[in-house]
Amino acid sequence: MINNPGPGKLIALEGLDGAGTTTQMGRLAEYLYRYQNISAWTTREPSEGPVGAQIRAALTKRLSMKKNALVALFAADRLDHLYSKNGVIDRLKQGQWVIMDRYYLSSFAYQALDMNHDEKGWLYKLHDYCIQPDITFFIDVPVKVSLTRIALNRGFHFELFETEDQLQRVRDQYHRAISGLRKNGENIHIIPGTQPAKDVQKNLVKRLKIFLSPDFLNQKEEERIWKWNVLRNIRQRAEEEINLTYVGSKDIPPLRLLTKPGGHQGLYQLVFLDNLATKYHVMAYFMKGKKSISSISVRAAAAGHKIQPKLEKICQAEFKPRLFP
Amino acid sequence: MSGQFIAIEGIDTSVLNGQAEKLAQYLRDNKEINVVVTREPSDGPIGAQLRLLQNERLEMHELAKAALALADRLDQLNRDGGILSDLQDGKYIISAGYLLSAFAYQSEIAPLEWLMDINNAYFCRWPDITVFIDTPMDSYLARRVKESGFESEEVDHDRTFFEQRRKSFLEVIKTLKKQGMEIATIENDNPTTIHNKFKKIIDQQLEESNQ
Repeated sequence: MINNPGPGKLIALEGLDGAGTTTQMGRLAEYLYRYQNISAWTTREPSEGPVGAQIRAALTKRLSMKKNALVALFAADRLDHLYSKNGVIDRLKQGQWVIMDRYYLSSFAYQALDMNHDEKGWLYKLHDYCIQPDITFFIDVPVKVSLTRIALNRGFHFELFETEDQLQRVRDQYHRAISGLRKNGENIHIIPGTQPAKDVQKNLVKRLKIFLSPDFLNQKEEERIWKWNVLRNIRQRAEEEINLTYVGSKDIPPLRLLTKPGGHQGLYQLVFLDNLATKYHVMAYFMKGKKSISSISVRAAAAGHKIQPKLEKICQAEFKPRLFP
Repeated sequence: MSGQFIAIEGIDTSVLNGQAEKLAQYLRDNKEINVVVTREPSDGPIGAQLRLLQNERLEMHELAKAALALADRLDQLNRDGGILSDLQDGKYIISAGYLLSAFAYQSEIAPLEWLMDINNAYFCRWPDITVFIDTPMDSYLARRVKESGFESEEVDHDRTFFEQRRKSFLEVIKTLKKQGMEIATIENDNPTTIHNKFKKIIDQQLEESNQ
């Protein structure tokens, strides 16, 4: 994947059919326009282009096509969607935000089903020239909810991937793909999608506001944090074991801290959200000029909120201060 | 017994199509081999879109075109009654233009390494025999003048196109040979001479397979 050429931001909405991605795309675009004065282009995949039309014909079984050909067709449609005149990349470069209803995470879930290691490698290679989203929201719904909503919307007209057993496997595959992409540093939030649409929207907007906050370090600045294994491990375990989402870090200015003998103390504040968008902070203190973290603590982000005990346990397990010099 | 997949490659597509048909007829008449002649883009639904792109009725970035060409190739290979099924039935497949042509055209924009990775042999059946018909510029331009009815100066813009394309082909051939692929080259000559050279290559291949 390649970085967004910007300055516009790319937001991807993902989930099983019936998760509410289309609804939330509209709501997010309206929020950005009304409250952030940001104009966003909303679009979907398969795209409205000529290749998207063929994909839809294959998905609705009007066109028969073997799996590998369909996988390549999805990749062709995606690349066309990105690189065509006035497509996604053109708009991002012009400063417009783009919100996509489905992007490559859907391919890594639906199409990776039953693929072996080599086949998955090929699938990912097809996407080498796709732009990495600035933020991805995966709206997670149980399979039964997905099937009910599909039936209500389409009158029992099921597309290619919509039996209960298959959808459960797709949902599991989504989670595996998310785990893999997060390890590569992708910003992916898992949102419970069974709540009413306005509550799901509130959750998304909360996260978007954090994303828009100017206090956070950018990707390049964050590299200083990830040089410490302990912080990388904490992030990975928090995301995988207790389903927290890392949203960004702040560099707390040293003037606000007490100066210790021998040097200044620095502080990074890592911000995590749980699936209801409750914030937790991991505070990592280090002596400037030294190569190690001196202490780590976990704080709730607001008065009255509980400290996440599991996050605390992870931090304690990962940070082992040297007792003897 | 499985069939053989023969790819005839080159810049001059009318020569490729003509030679594919001649070779197919030779194998049917003299070797009693069941032969299917194919081409790219295919006659399938994805091939139809690729032809619109070739005729410039449709626009698409080269990266997207490369993935679309791959989709067409996989469809032609894997569909019921497609190339793979024919090969399993013992038929010979002769393709007028295949991977070498695709890599030569697409690598002018898309990176060759990426093209080779997405068309790797695990998914895309690579040919058993690849023959490149190398057309000298003068004979190509002379044919263009004859076909188009233009004066020779008026087809001069084709010269740049031709030079670029030939350079792409030769670079791709060099890369593929380094990776161990065998590619025979035939100098473009009169159709009968080319056909005789083809027969020699195929007869030799048949002899080696029977040993």
